[in-house]
Amino acid sequence: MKQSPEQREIEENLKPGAFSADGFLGTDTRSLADIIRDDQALVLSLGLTHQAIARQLSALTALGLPSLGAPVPSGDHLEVVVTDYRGFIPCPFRDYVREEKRLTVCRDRRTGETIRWTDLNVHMIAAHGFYEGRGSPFRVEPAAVQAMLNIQPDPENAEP
Amino acid sequence: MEIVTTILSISLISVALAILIILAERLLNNYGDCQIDINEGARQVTVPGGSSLLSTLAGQGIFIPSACGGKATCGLCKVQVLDGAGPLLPTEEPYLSGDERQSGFRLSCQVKVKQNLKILIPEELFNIREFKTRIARIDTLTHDIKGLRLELLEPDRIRFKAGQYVQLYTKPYSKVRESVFRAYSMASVPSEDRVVELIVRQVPEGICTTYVHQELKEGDELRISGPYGDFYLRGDCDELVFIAGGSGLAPIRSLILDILEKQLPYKMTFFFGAVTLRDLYYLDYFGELQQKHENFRFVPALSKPTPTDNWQGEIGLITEVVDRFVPDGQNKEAYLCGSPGMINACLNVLQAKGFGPDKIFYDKF
Repeated sequence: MKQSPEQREIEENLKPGAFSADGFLGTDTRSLADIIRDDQALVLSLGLTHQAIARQLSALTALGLPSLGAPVPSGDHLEVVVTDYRGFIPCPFRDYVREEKRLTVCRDRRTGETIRWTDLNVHMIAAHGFYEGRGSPFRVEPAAVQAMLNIQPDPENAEP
Repeated sequence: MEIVTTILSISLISVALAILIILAERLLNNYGDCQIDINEGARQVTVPGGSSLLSTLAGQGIFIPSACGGKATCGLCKVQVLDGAGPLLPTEEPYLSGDERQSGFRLSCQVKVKQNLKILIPEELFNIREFKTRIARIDTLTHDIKGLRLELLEPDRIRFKAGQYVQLYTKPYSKVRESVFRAYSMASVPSEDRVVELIVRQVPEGICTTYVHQELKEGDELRISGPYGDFYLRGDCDELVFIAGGSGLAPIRSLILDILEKQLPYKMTFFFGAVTLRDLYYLDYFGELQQKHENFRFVPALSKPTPTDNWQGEIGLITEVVDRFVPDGQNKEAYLCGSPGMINACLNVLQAKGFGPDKIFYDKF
């Protein structure tokens, strides 16, 4: 299908070396539209919304931020570490948003499993429904997020 | 036969259309030569149109400060464009105040040179130079921080104020096909003018920091430009408070060494914060400086030392430690460098202690 110049620019921005060293698509061979559509279906099947996921990730980042890189407990078994770096990264979707270079790592103290996300991830999930391609270093896996954070489904989106 | 004719016809039409599009693109994107008038006739350059004003000026040896490499995320590359810039872009709006817009300020990374331009830039930018350097040494300072010592090849000397920064230019590497540049503060002392030392923390997925950490080797040549920035000593006080975290130690080291070397009479305290011992470096270095100089105190602090760290120093967030050690802002100036989170947290503490906004200094990138 023919792409608009805007779509072409977004796909260029998502490639390695444009905005980040390895880019945002990883080893995924699907089109951007397919990646977003498949994740949308996955999120709905979990009874969640992009907004609900983004809100929860953002809340954990806000919890960890004041500790300047030291681990902060969240609930009974989670631990959050927020590391921030100098500089900003623009959103590749051409929406003129820039985010601080900030990384949040959430660890389940019982299992040792971790999930991680950046402020840009949170923005791209909330604004564009984009969790990055499979194999991307910062791909946010909706099912893994839900398994660790147990986000409450939005009632209007929950399956009967 | 009819099918073959149809296929051939469609192919020929497609090829003709493709040629037409290529020709149109060349025609429409060819802006020819453009003239840039700088500072009302002080200098005039003729340049090929089509690139950003930032990179076009750099090609003429005029280096506008920029920390983000032209991505419109730092807002440092402002220049006053009196004529020929075209309409303001949404990417520029967050960085320009009403007054600046009225006066014609623009982000030079977002202005494309398409016609003749008239611009105003500060005179001191003419002093910024590009340097060819060779990497004399790479030190692993922590698990995610490296120190670079660069020998200047051409020109072979640099004049700068302690605290200023340079821009480091990468070469294409791995999957990265274009050169990028980023800002790094100089850690070396201005008197040692044949070298530049940088301290670079690896940013996960960062294009430039990955280049420094994974691609560069001792002996490699590296391009930098500078000096840039207004993070340097004002000194209108009796006492100086320095606060750093991570690679933010770089300009603070330069400032402290410069002050000690010039034997300026300030009382100085340097707070260096980290989470665990593995995040700290230069402990012995600054410890020795403290032994040698009565007016210099070094206060490293860990917020969450591990049992194996066997840490005997200060414990707590760097803000808590500053709060314990600094009673007030009387006759003091504060110089900060580190992550945005650390800077913001420290600003709150210092302002609560009476440091006025004109007594707190930090780079805004």
